[in-house]
Amino acid sequence: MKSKQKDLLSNVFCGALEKLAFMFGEPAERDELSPTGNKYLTAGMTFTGDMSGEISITVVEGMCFEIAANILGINSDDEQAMNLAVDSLKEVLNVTCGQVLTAIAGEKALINLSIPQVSELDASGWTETLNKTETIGFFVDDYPVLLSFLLVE
Amino acid sequence: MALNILVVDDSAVVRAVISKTLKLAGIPVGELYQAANGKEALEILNDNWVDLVFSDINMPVMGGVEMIEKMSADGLLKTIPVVVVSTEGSATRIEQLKSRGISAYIRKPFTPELVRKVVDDIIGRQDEE
Repeated sequence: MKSKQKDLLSNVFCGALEKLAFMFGEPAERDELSPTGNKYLTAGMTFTGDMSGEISITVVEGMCFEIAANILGINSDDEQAMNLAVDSLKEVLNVTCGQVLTAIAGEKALINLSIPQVSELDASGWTETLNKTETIGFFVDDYPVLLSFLLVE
Repeated sequence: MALNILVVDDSAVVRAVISKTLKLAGIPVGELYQAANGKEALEILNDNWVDLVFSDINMPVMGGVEMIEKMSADGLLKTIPVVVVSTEGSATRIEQLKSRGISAYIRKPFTPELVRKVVDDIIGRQDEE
């Protein structure tokens, strides 16, 4: 991934997380992001139109409870945070995707977004995502996070 | 006067955030209805008096654009103001939605102050009419 695009993605993603969930992220090197658990969630969506491709966010499951709690202003062990954890990850992806596409393609571009889908990954899935060229890594409030962005020519 | 409001979004967390934001913004809410897609929303609209709709665009079963088109084709429902709440920042898309009759567009993430302003503007316009 080109450094300019990487910077743009980093800025937009960290800005979206900050505004939406009051969480703070900073870019991390790949060798800092080895798997630490065995249950991860990945939210992905595609986009087509003036620009086409796919975007995904991969996190440790526990971070989703934190995202939901922060978005809703409740404790992360609250039942509502548990119930809305997956939805919260989808929303972070949705907002990030919308902001990234506007930043890259401009406000006149017409791009259709798919509905975000979430699936589970194990440690090998995390490592596979981490090693993709289109993936950049972050620490968000000490949680490791992977953001993958791929444009289709 | 309290407003009966319908929030349409496939994300339960977004519906919860909009509900909370309405309270934080000090908007007087009577009944707060929720729907996960346009089809559910139309059923609620046909059975209940709703003053204002907040709706997403991208939803399964029936998206926001189709719901707005069906509302526009209905003599009573077309008078209900619709505020689209979406992540999309395309000016072209927003113009398309405005040409279909939406009252306002709010881009996520949003603040209670923005929601308050949008609701005040809509109610103000209705009072002038």
